Amino acid sequence: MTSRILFNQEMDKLNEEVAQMASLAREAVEKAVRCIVNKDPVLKAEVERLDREIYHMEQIIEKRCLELIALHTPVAGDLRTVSTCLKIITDLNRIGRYASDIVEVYEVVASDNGFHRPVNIPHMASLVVAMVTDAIDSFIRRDDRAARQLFDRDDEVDCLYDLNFRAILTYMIEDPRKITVGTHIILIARYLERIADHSCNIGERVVYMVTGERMNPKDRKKSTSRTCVNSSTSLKQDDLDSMQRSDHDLAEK
Amino acid sequence: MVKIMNGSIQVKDLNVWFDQNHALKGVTFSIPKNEITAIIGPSGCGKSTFIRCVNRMNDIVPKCRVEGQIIVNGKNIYDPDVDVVEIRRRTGMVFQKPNPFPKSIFENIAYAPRIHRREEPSAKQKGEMVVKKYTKKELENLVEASIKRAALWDEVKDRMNKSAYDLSGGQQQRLCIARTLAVNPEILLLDEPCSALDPIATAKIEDLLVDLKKDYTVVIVTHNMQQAARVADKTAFFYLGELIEFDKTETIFERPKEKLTEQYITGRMG
Amino acid sequence: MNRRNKERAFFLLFRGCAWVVALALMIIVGYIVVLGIGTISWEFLTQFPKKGFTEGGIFPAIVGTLYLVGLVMIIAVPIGVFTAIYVSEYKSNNWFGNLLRVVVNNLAGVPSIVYGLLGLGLLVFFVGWGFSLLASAFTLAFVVLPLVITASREAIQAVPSSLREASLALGTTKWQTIRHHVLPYSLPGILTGVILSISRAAGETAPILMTGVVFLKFTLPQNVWDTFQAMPYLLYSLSTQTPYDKTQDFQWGTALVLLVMVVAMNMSAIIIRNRYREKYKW
Repeated sequence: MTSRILFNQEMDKLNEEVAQMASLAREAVEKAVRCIVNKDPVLKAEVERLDREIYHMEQIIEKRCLELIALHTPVAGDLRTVSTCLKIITDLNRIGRYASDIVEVYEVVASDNGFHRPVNIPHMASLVVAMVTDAIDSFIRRDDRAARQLFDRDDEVDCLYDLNFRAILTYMIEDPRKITVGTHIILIARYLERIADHSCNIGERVVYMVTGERMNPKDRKKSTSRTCVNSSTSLKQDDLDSMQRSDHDLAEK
Repeated sequence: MVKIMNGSIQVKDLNVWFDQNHALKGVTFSIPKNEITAIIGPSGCGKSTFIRCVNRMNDIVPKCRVEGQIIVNGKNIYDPDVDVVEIRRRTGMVFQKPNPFPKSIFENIAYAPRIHRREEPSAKQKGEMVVKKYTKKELENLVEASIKRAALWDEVKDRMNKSAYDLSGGQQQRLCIARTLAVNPEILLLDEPCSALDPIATAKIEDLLVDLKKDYTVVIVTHNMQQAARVADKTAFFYLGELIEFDKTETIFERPKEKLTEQYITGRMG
Repeated sequence: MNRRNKERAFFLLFRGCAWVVALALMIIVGYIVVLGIGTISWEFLTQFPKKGFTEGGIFPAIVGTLYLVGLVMIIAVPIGVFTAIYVSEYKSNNWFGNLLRVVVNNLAGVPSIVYGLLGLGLLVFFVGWGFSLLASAFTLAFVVLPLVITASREAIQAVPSSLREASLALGTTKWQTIRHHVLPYSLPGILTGVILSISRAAGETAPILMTGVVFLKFTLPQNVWDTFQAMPYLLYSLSTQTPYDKTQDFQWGTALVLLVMVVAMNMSAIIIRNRYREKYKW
């Protein structure tokens, strides 16, 4: 029933390649987080290799997109798909880059004993990895509802970043010997927060691809940090305990 | 050349039958004035039938029955007291294959205005004398103005008395446009005007249409979607005799509302 | 026989037939020319016959034929062309149009002597025109009408409908379109029909035989109600009613003049047709 065989083949290849690049990005983030949290040196080289591959794929996919546009003049749904692919490969590339940035400071962080009070980087990291996974899934499944749900989770991640920032700042003031490692951990938290942002970007593009709707910027940033502080006081005791436990493990090592 | 007063077209529940074949089914929409409206759709969807209803050219087809209204300037052109010949003067048509008369370029343009001048009712009640004939100079000016408006003057000014058949396809088509402009229409109907032309000639005509829409209402039937995308302000998609979707061109090509429209324009229909 | 030989054989066959026709034509024409040329002189062409067609000329027959052909054209061409226009351009799917088509197609096959009888009974006696140029002209007009109608109809229908549509789309009426476009462009074809009818009209004997031509008269026809002389009939009469050895000069001379006249009329019509073809080529 379908015509334009060549065009459809090219579109299928595009989807495959973007899905492949996305899974590489997800793998990079996951491995970067494990590298830092579990102090696994092998993963550092892995992540750096993945970053290079991701970069290479961006170039391949961009070229394919431009060829599709020039030769096949896609319109309507096809056009939105191609333009979405063009944009999210940028986001995926940045995600890969941040993953590589995270493992860059492995030596400094690994050699340190951590802080004597909890810092919930692992929790934040697991949220971010989940966001990346879900963003990619929503693209592959063309599910705009799932994509919209990412924005609330981004708010949560932003909250955690603020918390961590303040906490580590306090620790650094208390103990100046921890300033170097503290700064690096702040940066790691920052990178994670940026990865979450890029996942949101992907979600926004998926909404456009499926519905043709361009989201209002106001929809993205619903809460301010002020509200976030409020929500931090309402953190459940379990969460605090689990955070304390995992950081205690960190501190013990 | 006189600037047009009005030229919007309202189509209300237009139905056309060729013998037993229901060619157009309940078409209703409004074509705005001073814009280019493109009509796209697969072969046999009724786009040519529709456009030929707007200047009542379907009247000459035997066994053609038309119901419904097409309102131009507030008057339904299918009313029984309407002068068909006058409708056709006000609604110019350019055909798919260029069809200049086998006469000189000058004669091609001058033919219709000469006849219309003769037919003009004399304005005795106004106390004026309406001259029934163009002077030589008047006619030359009119012809020159028409050809200039059709962006053809530079190419033919030295051979106005040569046969129109010596021109290239693209030039002939622009000559046909000039011929239509010479009778001072309000609406321009073009039925796949570029399908017989090469890309350069096509581009010239598309540029011309964009220029013409300042003064005329342009309706163009095209099977080339990229052409519709390039020049049209609004686009109507016809399928099997029905109007499926009518909207701004950007919307149709970026986010069409109907699934059929999306299928057709992405080439996934049949 | 292989393919190439077959090809060659057929080609030779076709060429042979063409040669036979050409040869026959050349012999006929040559014969007439050779035998008749001696008789042709200014006197022959401008004088009345004297002394039992042994002296003088065939002036009245020449004039009579010219009058006849002229009248036939005046009657047949407008009627024929307008009928062709009606059948081709206006709605003729009704009973009348279909009847007309059938009638025209069959009229061409009616033997010309039957037309003669028709002319005699209807025009000469019933209507009361008597034996006259007019009766003969009308009768002959019916003979050539199918030719004119058919040729005109073909020519008119050969004009592409795209040109008609172009004219109509400019806001002109159907008649204006016909007058300024359809007719001029179909003129070559119409003229072809006219050419054929001229030859027919000039050469037919049977229809005029019964309606108004006479063998010998000492005056030219004074008006259309008068009887007249014509070359075909003259030739027939000379060969049947006069001794051959006495009048043979006249006979061959008449034949030659008739031939030349028909050819001349044809040539002029062809020249006019070619001029229009050049003017309106598409």
